[in-house]
Amino acid sequence: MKCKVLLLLGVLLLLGACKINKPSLPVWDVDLKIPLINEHYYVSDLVDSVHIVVDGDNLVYLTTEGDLETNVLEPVALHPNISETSLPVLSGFNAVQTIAFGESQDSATLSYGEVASGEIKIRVGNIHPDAGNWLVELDVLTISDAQGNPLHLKYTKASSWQSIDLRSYRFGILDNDVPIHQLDVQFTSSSALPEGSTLAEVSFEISQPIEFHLFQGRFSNYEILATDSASNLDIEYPHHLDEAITLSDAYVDIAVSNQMSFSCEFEGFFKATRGDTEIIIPILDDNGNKYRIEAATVDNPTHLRFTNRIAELIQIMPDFIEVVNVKFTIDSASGFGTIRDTDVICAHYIVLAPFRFLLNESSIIMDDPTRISISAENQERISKNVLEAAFSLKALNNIPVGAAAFAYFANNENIDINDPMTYSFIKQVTLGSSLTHPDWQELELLNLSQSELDLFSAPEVYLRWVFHFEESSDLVEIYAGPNDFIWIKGQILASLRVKDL
Amino acid sequence: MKNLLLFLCLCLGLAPLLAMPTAKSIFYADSYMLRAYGVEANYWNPAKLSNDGRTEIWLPLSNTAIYASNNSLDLDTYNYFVSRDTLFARDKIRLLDKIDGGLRLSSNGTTSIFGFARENVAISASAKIYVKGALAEDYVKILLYGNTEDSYEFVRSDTNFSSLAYTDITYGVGDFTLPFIPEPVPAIKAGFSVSLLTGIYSIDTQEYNGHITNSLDDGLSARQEIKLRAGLGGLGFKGMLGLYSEITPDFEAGITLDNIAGFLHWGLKTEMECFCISADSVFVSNINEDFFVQETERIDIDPFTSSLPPQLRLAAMYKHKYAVVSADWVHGFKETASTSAIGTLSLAASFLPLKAVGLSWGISLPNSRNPVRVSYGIDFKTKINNFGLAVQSYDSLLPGYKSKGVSLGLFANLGF
Repeated sequence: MKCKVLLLLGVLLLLGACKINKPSLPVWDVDLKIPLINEHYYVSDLVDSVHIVVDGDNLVYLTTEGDLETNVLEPVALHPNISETSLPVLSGFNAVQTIAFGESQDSATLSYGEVASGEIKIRVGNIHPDAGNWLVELDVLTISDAQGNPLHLKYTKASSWQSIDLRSYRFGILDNDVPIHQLDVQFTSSSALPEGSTLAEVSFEISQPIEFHLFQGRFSNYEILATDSASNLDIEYPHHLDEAITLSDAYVDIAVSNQMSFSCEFEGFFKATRGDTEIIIPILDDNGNKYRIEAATVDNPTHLRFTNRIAELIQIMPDFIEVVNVKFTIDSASGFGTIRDTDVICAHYIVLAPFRFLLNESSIIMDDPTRISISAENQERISKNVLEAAFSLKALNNIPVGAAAFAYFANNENIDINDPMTYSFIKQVTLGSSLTHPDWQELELLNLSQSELDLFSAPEVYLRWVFHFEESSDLVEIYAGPNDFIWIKGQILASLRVKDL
Repeated sequence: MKNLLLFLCLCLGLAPLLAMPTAKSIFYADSYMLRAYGVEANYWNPAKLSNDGRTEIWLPLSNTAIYASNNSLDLDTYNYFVSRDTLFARDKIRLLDKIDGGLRLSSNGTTSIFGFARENVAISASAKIYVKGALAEDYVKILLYGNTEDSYEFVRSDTNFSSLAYTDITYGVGDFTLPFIPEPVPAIKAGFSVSLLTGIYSIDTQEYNGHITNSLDDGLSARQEIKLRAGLGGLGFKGMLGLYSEITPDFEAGITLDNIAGFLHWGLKTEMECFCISADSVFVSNINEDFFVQETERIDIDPFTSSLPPQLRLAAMYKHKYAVVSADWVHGFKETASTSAIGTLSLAASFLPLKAVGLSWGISLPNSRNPVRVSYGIDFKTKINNFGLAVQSYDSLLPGYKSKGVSLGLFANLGF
């Protein structure tokens, strides 16, 4: 029995004799699935309403726009060339005489004008010796002041040439389209001579041009030049698209606002430049004729759509477009009209190139690398705990463009994709176009080995993207509707080592 | 001993709680209803308070028991894992095989404050503490393997925590013979006890909801929400009614109903601690510093009452010349921190190899919640005192490396 007691005591003490190890956390590996992305990338997000726009059918357009304006107009100048024209004045006789108002050297025919500058010279001479006390009054009926009173002069003695400043005087009658071919002068006189005797001679001379700040009449050929500085366009292609695509066609919408009440002919050239390549095409309609601008269209601009040969221009993917040698010509077809020296012709024009293009087999290299900052805490975690990581991605591409994306990783920002010494490793993802891959595409599993992950134990990692588009055999059209997107889903599959928690 | 304490700490935690009224019941794996006498009958069956002329006294801390166990890890497994440098696939499989359905841990402690019994009356006081909790198996899987599944759901039944501490002052009277028992039915003794309970603190999980989902469409979403109800300072009551009968001079049977009208009302300070952490539709591509929301709220709540649901115990005991064997069946009416709604059968035997030395052995058979428990004890008797020491092993016949828990009981009393 004593043995049994001793045995029981031994059992009681057994537990106390058990060895219990000190707790220490072992190391083990776990696999984590971490959602990475579930995003729709809409084409419409590219629409910035500045360089990329859409039309009513959601077709995407590359666009750029600019303004064109004529020079400040000079007053219309006429050269009537009236030289010492003498008219007799008969005593006691009221009569209207005419002076020819020629425009032999001008292409303009005046019907009404408001004088900006000019003068008429008048001389009264050859007074009859027996005239006694005499009086001569004359009214130039064709020329009136602002109140409508004819130019009135009064003489009681002979005078040499007297200059009359015509500034603020008007020629003719406003809005009367009858051309002025002569000046009508009414004479009134009195003297001691018998009625009907020649009392004196009055001479007229207009030797300098008369400038009108408001001109009404007709032109046979009057040219107005556009300013050069306002007609240059810098084209900025978003995302360097010009390197990868060749646009198939384009057109230019021009809205012309003409303040003159003359219609006119529009003449000019588009000059497109890309590097050393230059192309110049005349601005002509589809029939090869010059465009004609309607008269007085300030509130209702004339809209022109210019398509002729514009494709030639846009297909060089110009980075600079000029509209050169622009002039507006008022001609006989313009008819009767009005022009002021403040009038201008403005044009706002938009170059529109639909995203209908051929994809070239070329690469787009993003200019600036993306910098990824990694905190010290995460650097340590990645270095210590992350064994490997993989990106599992799938995509639904509703855009008829496929591309391969190359990501160049480095720990410095001077990544030269042609120099492997400047980057650590490359990862590639290829996305087929909707034409060849209409359903979800499982993208290649991107694995990051532990050695590649070591790069992320640095404070900064740089990533430079290069996109290589699939060459297209046919024209590709890009729309920006609600169904035009690339949908990417993905997750990170990471193996982590649990230690030193 | 340091290692022993370490193992106890390891086992501390969350699991179905086993009632542990007194230290000496450890000796018999709780098959103790008809064995208790004196002060202990106050807690086990007041009908056993008898007019045998003895006086018994409990001293503070003289009757103390502690217990800690879990449902998954034995000492051998524990030693294995804490000594590994690296856990390989086979190690993870081994660990998860051990954790069947979830990790459940529990720990109890009880100690005497004072006790006095004379004739058929006893008055005593003791202190008790219960701690239990559970952790869903999926949490362990995530910890070991990562989030390999697309969806995880967590509910309160799998993940929870509760703890309760209180003292009692119990007064019991017994040894009443039930009248009107016809011959030849043997006499039936009856007794009762009432306990005034003083709550120290109570914490229990009112709500626990959690989910983790991971999908390509919705990203990573997670929500873990727990509401803990806490009470500090409380008063309560419970009663016990007991019957037993000596059917033959060697055979006894008894029945008790414990926790009659039992409650513990918490009113000094009561509050609800709400903790919620959530993240919704998280993708690495749009992650930011505020990708998760953490909310903690502590609100005062109305006083509340912790119920002490009734617990029925049936027992039988046979006295042989060389041994006394007994069987107890206990069944609570509700699952709480102190009662189990699943019945447990315990068997025990005691021997007297020497006049002054007693040996005891007991086994509590396993059920869906509790592993098998096996007790070994030894006690020594003198004319005026009685003391003993017992150890109980969980899920192992012998206490050792295969045990998933351990109980230690120490008792001593004075009798004259």
